[in-house]
Amino acid sequence: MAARYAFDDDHVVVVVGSGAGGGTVAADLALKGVEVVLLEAGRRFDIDDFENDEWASFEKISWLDARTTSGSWQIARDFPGLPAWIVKGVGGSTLHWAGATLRLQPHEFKARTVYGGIAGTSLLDWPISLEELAPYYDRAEFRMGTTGTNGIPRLPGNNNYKVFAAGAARVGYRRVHTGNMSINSRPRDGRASCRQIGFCFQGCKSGAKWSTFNEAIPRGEASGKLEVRAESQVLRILHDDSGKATGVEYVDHGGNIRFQKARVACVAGNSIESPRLLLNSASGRFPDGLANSSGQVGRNYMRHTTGAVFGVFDRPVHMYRGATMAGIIEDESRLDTKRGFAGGYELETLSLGLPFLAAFLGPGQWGRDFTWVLDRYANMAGLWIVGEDMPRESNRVTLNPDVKDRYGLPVANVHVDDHPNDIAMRAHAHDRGTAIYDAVGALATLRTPPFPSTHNLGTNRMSEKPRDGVVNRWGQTHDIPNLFVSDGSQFTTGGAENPTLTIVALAMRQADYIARELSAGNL
Amino acid sequence: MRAEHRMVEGRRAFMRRSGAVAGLGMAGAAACLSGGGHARAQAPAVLTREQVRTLVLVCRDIYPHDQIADAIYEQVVGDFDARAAGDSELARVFAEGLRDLDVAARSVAGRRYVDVVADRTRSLVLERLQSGDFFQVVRGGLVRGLYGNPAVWKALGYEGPSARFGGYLTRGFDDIDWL
Repeated sequence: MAARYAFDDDHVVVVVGSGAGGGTVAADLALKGVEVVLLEAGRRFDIDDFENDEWASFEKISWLDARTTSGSWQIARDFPGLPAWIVKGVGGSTLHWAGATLRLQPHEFKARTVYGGIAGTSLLDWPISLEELAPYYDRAEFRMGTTGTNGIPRLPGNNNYKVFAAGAARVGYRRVHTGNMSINSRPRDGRASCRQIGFCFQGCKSGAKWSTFNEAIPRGEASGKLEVRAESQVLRILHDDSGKATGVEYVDHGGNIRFQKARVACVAGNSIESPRLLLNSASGRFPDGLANSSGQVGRNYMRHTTGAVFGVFDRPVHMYRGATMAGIIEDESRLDTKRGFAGGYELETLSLGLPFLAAFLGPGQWGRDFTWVLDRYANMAGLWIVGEDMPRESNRVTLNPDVKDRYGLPVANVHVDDHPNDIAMRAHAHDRGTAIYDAVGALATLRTPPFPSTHNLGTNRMSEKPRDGVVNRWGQTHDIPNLFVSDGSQFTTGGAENPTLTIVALAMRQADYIARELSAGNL
Repeated sequence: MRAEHRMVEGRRAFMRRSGAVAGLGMAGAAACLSGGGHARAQAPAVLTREQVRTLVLVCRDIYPHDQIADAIYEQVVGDFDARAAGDSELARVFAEGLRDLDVAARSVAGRRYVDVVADRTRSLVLERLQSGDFFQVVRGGLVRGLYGNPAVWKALGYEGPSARFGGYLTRGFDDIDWL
């Protein structure tokens, strides 16, 4: 059923990356009858390959190719070679995501206007509004089967949620529920309902959690228009003398260098690899990299202001039983600059198994204070902070000329200095998280620094004016009309919400646009 | 990354040998936790028995869990030894680190590390080394080797894989009764 295209078929749209953005744009184009080749650097897993073992799964599905870090963010000290915790495989980081499916709020599309010109930031308004994206949010929630939408019941609360919700009620929070989750609370769309396995980050073994791996890509392939080539690492995008993209050079599963011609190229390698690909595609005509006349490629890297709080109780919780992140407090995501920072944050339940809790609880910590906590592992509850971080031009992905990958190309360096706004927000959120667990009688609470980033955003940002960003309102690069960016690197600002839904909605909207432009002969 | 990878494989290989996988895990874990019986039968490849004894104590001092038997820490040290056998740089880190450890112990307490009786005093010795390669290699290997070990999961109340049991939907995902 899946299509096969020739390397010299220049009618195809080539999509680089198969996650929330790439998998969606590829499938949607195919469903509209457009011929698509989807190149994915990682392998194609089977559901049986997913493991209920944190380290084994990490070794198997994570993107572990070399990267470097710099800057004052704590990640550069705690995990210098692992700035991001994302996936290399068909489905990309939708294999790993926890399923939280939230819309950005209206004011978050106008961050520069609403928050004002905050020193040391590169805040900018999105060139689109919530109203424009709303029909695509509707479509995405239906496709993904999001709980709390389309009449789909929310998931039942697990033990970790019950502690979280009880604490939230006692400190006066009102907008508390088990989340808008793209995890089936009942069988839907050919996929089973959630068995409360836990291990959402390790690949869902029941298929209840939506991913491009189990929904968009198989649907696209069934249309007969989509060819997926796994284990195909794209090296660079090529262009002709007129400056139009002509196709992509990649290394296939057998190690052969291939060139796939294309009519349109969509880049969706996540916010570290996408700018790296554009920068590594520098040519005589575009010496600073493709689509980079603004100098904005790689800049304004965002990863949400995060952190975690764990509470230790005198009786069992078993936080790891059940969905990893099915619980949210939305009260702090409101627009309210009186808290001492711009932007808001969500608090969401989070459990880690013992292996990862030991690695992430206090990186580098040891001794009796540390093991006192782990001795009470069964009595712990956990929550995660996800808040809007400030874009800064100097927070950026660049090529590191001193470290090369196996193909001789420079790897990405990720530089971040926390903005004072991020630090103030994290402190506030840590305090609130602590208050929640104290309210239900915690013996101790622990504040955990950020994990390697899962929400990587902004490095090819969307802007009204070409000088302010890399892509326009459709994700089309300002410089090269047949080159698109289809992942979270398009985000102008990050908002307080988990980004997957917005990535999917933008990709659906982009697919409509590309199909329209192809029909009109404009591409 | 590569060094850590080898270590994990070493641990897996050990678990396969000892039968501590899948359904057999709990029986294997219980035997390990009972202590003594699972001490490594083979002679260490690179480390001396004295160095093994010191490293086991270092491991316990870094992540002290009174309910976990020495045999569990010995598995991690066994992995260190196996890694060092194939990696001369790592062998050097262990050799020099263990030498520095005893120098620090004599400076703090006037005796070798293994002969320092008070936990608090040994912690002071370790604090002197904690920014160095030796401590970091040991702690990094230990955080994975110890907390990745199903016997330790059992001891600390983590139930591990659940899909094979149908998840927790009917096994207590929402059974909390004290709120």
